[in-house]
Formats: sequence, structure tokens, C-alpha cells
Amino acid sequence: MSLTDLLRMSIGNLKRRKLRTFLTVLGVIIGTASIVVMISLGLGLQESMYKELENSGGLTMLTVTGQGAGESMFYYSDSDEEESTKYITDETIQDFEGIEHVSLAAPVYSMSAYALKGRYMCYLNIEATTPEALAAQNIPIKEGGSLPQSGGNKLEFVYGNGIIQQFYDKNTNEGYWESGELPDIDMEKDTLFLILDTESYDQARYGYVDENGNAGQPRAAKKTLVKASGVVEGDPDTYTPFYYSAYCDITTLKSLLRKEFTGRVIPGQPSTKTGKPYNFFAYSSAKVKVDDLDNVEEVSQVLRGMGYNVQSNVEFLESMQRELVVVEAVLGGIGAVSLLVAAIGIANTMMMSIYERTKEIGVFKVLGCRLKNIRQMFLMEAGFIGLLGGIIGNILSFLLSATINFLFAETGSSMGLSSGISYIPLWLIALSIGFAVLVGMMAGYFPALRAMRLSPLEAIRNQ
Amino acid sequence: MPVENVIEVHNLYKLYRVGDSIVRALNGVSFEIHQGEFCAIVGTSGSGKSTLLNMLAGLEKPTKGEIIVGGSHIESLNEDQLVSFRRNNVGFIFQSFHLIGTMNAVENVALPLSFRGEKRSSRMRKADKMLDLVNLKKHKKHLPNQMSGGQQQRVGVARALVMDPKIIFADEPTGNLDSHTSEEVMHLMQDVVRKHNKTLVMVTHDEHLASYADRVFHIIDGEIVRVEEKRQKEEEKEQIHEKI
Repeated sequence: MSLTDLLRMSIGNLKRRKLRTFLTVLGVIIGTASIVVMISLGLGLQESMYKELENSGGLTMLTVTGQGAGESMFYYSDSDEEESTKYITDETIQDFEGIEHVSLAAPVYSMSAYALKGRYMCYLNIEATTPEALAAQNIPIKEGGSLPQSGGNKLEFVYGNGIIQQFYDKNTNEGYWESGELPDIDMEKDTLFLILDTESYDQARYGYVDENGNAGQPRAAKKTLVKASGVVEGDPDTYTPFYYSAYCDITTLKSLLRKEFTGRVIPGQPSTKTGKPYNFFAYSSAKVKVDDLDNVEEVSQVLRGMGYNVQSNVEFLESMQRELVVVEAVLGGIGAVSLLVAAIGIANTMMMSIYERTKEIGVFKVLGCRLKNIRQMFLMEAGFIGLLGGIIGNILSFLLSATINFLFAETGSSMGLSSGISYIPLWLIALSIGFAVLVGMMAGYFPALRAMRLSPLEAIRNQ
Repeated sequence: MPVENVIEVHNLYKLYRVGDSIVRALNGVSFEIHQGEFCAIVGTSGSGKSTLLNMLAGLEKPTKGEIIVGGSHIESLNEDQLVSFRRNNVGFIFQSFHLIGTMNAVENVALPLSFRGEKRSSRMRKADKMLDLVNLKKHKKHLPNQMSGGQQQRVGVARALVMDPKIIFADEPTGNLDSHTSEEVMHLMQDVVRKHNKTLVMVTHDEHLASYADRVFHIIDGEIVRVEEKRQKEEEKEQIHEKI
């Protein structure tokens, strides 16, 4: 029998028992949908985690820290790692670049400064690094903006999309959180005053007291004019990995710092016992990009051997993946139970169908229908139930997934889940439909064998 | 003209075990059936006639003995080979018609051809022709439950013929029909067999229906007790008529 004849016959048989077919298919629909939706939840979790990782430099970017320098808002080092005693300087960056498999090594300097605009001011968290490293971070910049220029005298920033919320009124000390109103600042176009010497500025504001407790004349803090080269994409309320910081070019920042603190120790920089600055500049950390994921471990080992602390996303990812596999297995398992129930339904339907059609099968055999064809016919019927259930189940899953994402959209974004909590990739659709067909055929296999083995005599006996 | 034997049966035995005792359904049967012959096997119920037919059609295995159909021993074939043997050599007419309820007349007739892998267009054409042959021109699109018993059995006859088989087996083909329709169907079968030179083996308990056959085997308790040659008699009768 040709395949089309078999198909026509199988579908015809399903059609003549519409209600029963529908009920059996319904079982498969529910089974497939529950598996797909459950797994999609796990995948949504994984997807948003990957996005997060991608934003923070992907898997091949290592963060190398030595002895602390600069003023970092973030606290990096693990408690079980020993504090490194080595500073990261231009020399070390060159050493890093010399390591095999390193495609990029860039210094990072984190510090804080005041930003002023009219009656508003804010405590700005600055992240400075090389243009290459800035580009490698894939910061999503609002249209019209660009990464800060390097080499000029003008310091340019890419502002995080949440920075505007941090401005507060100098006079009332009220910020966005108190007043609920965003300050009247156009982050993209307005020029801000930047004050690097925050200590002197504070002294000027609140009064200067020297070591002996006498009030005196404070040093005047320089105000530097800065403009934005761009702003990170997103509303002030949307969380992104580039929410809080202002990004700028490290060379420009360094020369500004040197000018501002001529003859003094730049705050956060190491100094000799007598309080004099060293002649090198110590960076907060270094970004080291490895050419391939396979070499990440090797490069980390080399860097650790040099006496630095290394963090990469790989270890984080691995531990997350282990957890996610468990989560997905549990979720998928819950769904699989309902598909198992559906499979029993298919087997039952096929059994019933064979009892009903005993005579017909006998006639087929007497008329010379191949045993193989009889088996195929029943397998196809069962497989078709699986296929139908799989397809409709997937459609249902999409509806459910969209509903879940819609209902939990706000909760999701506040949790930092950028892509929604349910995510159905193409392969899951293909896999689940294939699985439904397979389950259908497995459930139909023994009934089909039974049909094949029916004795034609038994089947065509009169009465 | 040398007569070709389509079926040869030698010393056929079929024993059933019923509880502790053994029942001899067939007890050493031997006969030949020639090409183009219409044979009837007549016996009461339990005489072993249906068992014999089932074995000739390869639906049941003999305990002992040889069955040679179209030159090949079918007692030694396995189930797959038997199915293929039936597909290529045998047409079957059932007592209760056994048409597929979801298919109309043409589709029912075309069904065995689909087992051979024939294309839909060609098998529908053949089926259509066959229905013309059995005088069912008006009922081609009817489902079995829209037809009378006689019409259904005509479809059954067409289904057996469409395969162009060497042999047609009929198991009490008129058992579910009233006497008038029975006569019609018997005439039809007789006609078709004569016209197309087919071999037909029919099982019946009705002596009258058996009289349509060329040769009648009388079977009692698993043994053939008498063979009647009807055709020769008829020919003799005709010759006598001509002489008169």
C-alpha cells in the first residue's frame, strides 16, 4: 500500500470517530502544552540570565583586580580570595596583553565625582576605560549618541539611563524619590559641571576645618565642563546593567585628574608613607578579553599565577546552568506526567478501535493486505493523534506563554528579567511536536501489533 | 484439450483438539479442480466444508497433507507469504459480505487493488468497470448500509473479481440472502465464471444452490463421499434435446 493510501485510510478512521478522536487529542494537547509551558518558564529564566551575561561582557571577558585603587561603588572580591598586593598599572596591562589567547586588555578606573546642573547636583559614579573596552561592552546607546571620543581634552560621558533619577535639589536636598518629579535636565544635550575634587568642594560648602580644628580657606575645586556623547537606552525606570554609571575615556580622565590634583595624591591612589604620590597610576581593575571560551580557564590560571584576582562569568554560568537543569527537569517532569496520562489515553483509544474493527482487519487480511501495512495503519493513526495534539498543544502554549508574559510583565522587569518569564524557542516547538508524535506511536505500538496478529479466521467468522 | 489442474489436494488432514478428545475435521481428502471450473462443496454444518475452503485459501494450516494451488505448495508458506499468495491469486466472497462500512461501493471494490499498490485513478477505473459488470451502475456512490443485501453481495462479487484472481472462493455467498436474490446472485456468479473462464470454489449447505456448479463435492464427516459431474449431464441433456 502506498503511503498516501495508508494516510487516507488512517485519517478516515479518525474522522469516523470524531468525538473519541477529539477527546484523545485533547489529552495530548494538555500534555504537550503543559510540557512546553513548563520548559518555557525555565528557558525564560535562562534566556534573561544569558542576556545579563551578554551585557556584562559575555563569557570571554575577565575582570582582573589587584590591590584596590579608585573608589568603587561595587565590592568585588570574594571572601575566600586573598587580597592581592599588586596594583594594576600601565605596565601590568602590557603584561596582560602579552599573555597568549588574550585579545584585549584594558584598564578600568572607577571613581565618584559630583555633577552639577543649575540647582541640581548628583553623586556620579564614573567608569573609565579604553575606547576598545568600551566598545566591547556593547552598551546600548539611545539613537543619535555615540561612545565618548578619545584623545581630546574634552571629557565626554555616556550616561546610564538611571542617572537622572539621582539628581537632587542642592537647596532642599530633595531628589526624585522624594518629589516624584524628574529634574529638568536633558542628559543628552545639557552641559554639566563635573567636580573631581569632591573633598575640597564639600569643604567649601560645609566649612573647612584643618587638622588643628581651625577654620580656614579651602582650596577651590575646579569645575570642568562636560557633555554627553550619548545616553544608555531605556526609561529612567527600566533597569539595565548600565543603569547607574557614567562611562568615559580613561586617558582623558587621567589627564584631568593629574591636572586637578597637581602635586597631591589623587584620592584613591596609593601613596608613600610620607604621603607623596607614586609616579605610576593604579587602576581599579582590568578587563581582559580572551579569544575563545575554551581558553578562559587557562588565561585565568596565568593571571592568578601573576598574583591577581580573576572573576569570569564562566563559573557563575556553570553553577547557574546546573541549577537551571534541575529546575527545567522538575518543570518538564510535571508536564511529562500529563503527557504520560495522554499516552495511556491513546493506547486505550487504539485498543477500543481494534476491538471495533476486528472484522475489518480480518477482511483486510483475507483480501491480501500486508501485515506490515496493517501495523503501519494503526501506528499512523496513533501518530496522527500525537501530531494533532502536538500542534494544537503548541498553539495553546503560545497563548498561555503570551498571557503569562503579559500578566507578569511588570513583576518580571522589576526582577531584572528582560525577555519575559516564558520563552518558547523554535527547537522546543519542533521537539515537543516530535515528542508528541513519538509518544502517540509508542502508545499505539502494542495495539498495532495486536491488530497485525489478529487471526483472519477469527475476524471474519460469521455472527 | 488437456485440462490444467488449478488446485490439487493430496491426503489432507485437519485435526482439532476439543478438550480431551480429538475431532477430525478433515480425514484424508484428495481431489483436483480444473481451470475454469465452478465447483461446489456441499455438506451439513460441521462436515468440514468450511475448514476445507479456509485451507484452500491459505487461512488455516492443515495438520497433514499437500495443497498445491497454481503450482505452489501453500501448506509450507508462512503468514506473510500466505497474504501475498492471497493478494495475487485469490478472490474471496463472504457470507455476510464484509464490506467496509465507511467506503462507498466503488471504494470497496477498489480496496484490494490498493493492497497491491495500484494508483488510485487506475483502481477506481477498474472498480467502476467491475460494478458495471455486476449490474450496479446506479449504486456506485452508495455506502453499504444504503444498499440491499443482494446489492451488497454484488459489490462483494465485484471486489473478488477486480483482482483478476486465478481462483475465487465463496463461503456460503447467499447465506444471508432471501431465495429470490440468492438465485440472482448465483446466476451472476455462474455467468461471470463462464464468461471470464475463472475457477470458482463455493461452499454451501444447500443442495439446490450447488446445482449451479459444474461439479459438486459432497462432504460428510471430513471425507468426500460423492462427486457429481453436472456439466457433463447438462451437455448430455442438451445433446439429447438436440437429437429430439
